[in-house]
Amino acid sequence: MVKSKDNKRRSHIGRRSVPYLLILPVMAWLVLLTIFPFVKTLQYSFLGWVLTRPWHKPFVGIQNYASVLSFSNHIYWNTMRNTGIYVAVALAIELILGLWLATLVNRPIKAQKFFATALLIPMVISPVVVGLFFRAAFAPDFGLVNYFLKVMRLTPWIPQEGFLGRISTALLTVILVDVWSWTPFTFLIFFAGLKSLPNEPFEAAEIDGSSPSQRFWFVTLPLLKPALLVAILFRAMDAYRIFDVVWIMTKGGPGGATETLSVLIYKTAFYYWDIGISTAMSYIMLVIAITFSTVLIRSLYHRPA
Amino acid sequence: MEVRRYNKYTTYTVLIVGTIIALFPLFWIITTSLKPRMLTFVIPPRWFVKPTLDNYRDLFQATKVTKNLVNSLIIAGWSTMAAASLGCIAAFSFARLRISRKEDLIFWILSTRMIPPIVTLIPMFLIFRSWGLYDTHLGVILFHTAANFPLVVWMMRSFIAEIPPEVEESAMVDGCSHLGAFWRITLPLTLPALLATGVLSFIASWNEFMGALILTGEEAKTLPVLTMSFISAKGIMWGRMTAGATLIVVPIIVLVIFVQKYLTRGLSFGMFK
Repeated sequence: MVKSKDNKRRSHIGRRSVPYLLILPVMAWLVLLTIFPFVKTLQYSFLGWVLTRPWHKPFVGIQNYASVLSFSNHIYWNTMRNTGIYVAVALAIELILGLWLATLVNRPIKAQKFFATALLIPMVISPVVVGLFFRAAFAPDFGLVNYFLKVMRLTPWIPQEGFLGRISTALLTVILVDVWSWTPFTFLIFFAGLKSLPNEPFEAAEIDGSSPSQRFWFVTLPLLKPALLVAILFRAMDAYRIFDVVWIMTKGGPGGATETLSVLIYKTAFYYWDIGISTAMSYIMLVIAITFSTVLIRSLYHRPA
Repeated sequence: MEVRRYNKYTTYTVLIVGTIIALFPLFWIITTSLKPRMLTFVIPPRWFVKPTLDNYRDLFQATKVTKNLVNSLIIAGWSTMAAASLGCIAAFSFARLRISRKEDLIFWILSTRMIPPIVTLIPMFLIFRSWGLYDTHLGVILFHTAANFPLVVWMMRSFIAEIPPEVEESAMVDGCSHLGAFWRITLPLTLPALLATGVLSFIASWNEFMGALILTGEEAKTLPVLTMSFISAKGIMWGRMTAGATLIVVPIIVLVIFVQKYLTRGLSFGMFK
């Protein structure tokens, strides 16, 4: 990151309020569309408000939170578990795969630019299109995946109901689609990180007689820490809130096997119209998101320049 | 870095397989949208058939896709313009001018990018309904613009910070105000970057699904939301779906090729080059 130097000569700008006026539209817009809805969310989460009876909204205190967090609320805890697995597994695979691809493309190869761009394409494809394609590809009767498995004579491994239809494979399948869409992002960050590495530490390590794997673990990886933090920050927060691809492929099914937090909250709010419960869940979700992103952003912020 | 020994064959094999995996869905969607309906799901798949525009004709005649396409263009266009212009001005202020607790403010802007959208969308849906903004272009534009501010502010700040302040100062010695110097000197210098930032916000808005799904009904419905509706419990309208998907994807691929140079920088919010 580039920090602007505070230059004393700039203090002769006539009015001190100008800098603030210039950032005002952005700040006001963001406050109106983030802070204001947070306040509303908090307010709604204390109401027993279901939109099928819109005028009936009694204050119920923390009752919504109690029923969401109650241990007998298996749907909620199952969703938390799914979301946790989704974030952890997707993040782990994407970081490893992205770093691996970045080291490959960073070698002195031909057509480096072509590979670097082609590998980025999945990231810019609309999640709606991604979801529709993979729903078609994993369809049990005519999907391409089952077809290829049959061609490769792996018939016994094909679930009758399709990979998205079986409880034991659905979540992993959805995670693999996330890996397809977002490994390009970790690849991009690591590739940029690798390109900007200085030469000297590698030369020094080589003169000291280190092996290539030692150089990777003890020189490359520590130098890539900023890239790693950025990749974790963006990918963890985006995986945590995953909605579109999951919604289009499975709607959270079968039997809640792929239900993530955003999907459950969306259903509660817009299928059951339960504003009280859904905003209580989203407030808990928000607190977790803010905690994690603050920790990650701070570790980026305070890194030695 | 010096040339080290590496296994050429493995490297190229992995990269070629990776590229095929990355590009195959695009190939499948576009070719399927051009196949006659009879051949969509023949097993084994036929990869090369005589292309037909039947699916597109059906899409344009049987649905209101033209309207949704225009909606998508209006929403992505206006939210990009709003985010790019206001965001660029704020980025200038952050990069050059004196603001107390500047770092905190700019990290706060970044942290709004980390908020799960469902959290703000439920109250927004309720508020917009009572303000008459539900199912209007303006409602979605407000949401998409806010979503794009972090990108624009962070990316443009990193570009503006790279231009030496001396060029502005010399203009100011010649009698320009600081804002005038920004307008006449810095802005033209960062124009390519601003265009690339605009393209990236356009892509984000064009592709966005959840907000458009929640904040629109029939009137302001966008192309992704329409395309999603071709898949339902009753079945999947493959022809329309792949034709709609092609309409979403192809313009984006073209734009991406144009801003290729700025992709890394944009997608990492200006943190990497």
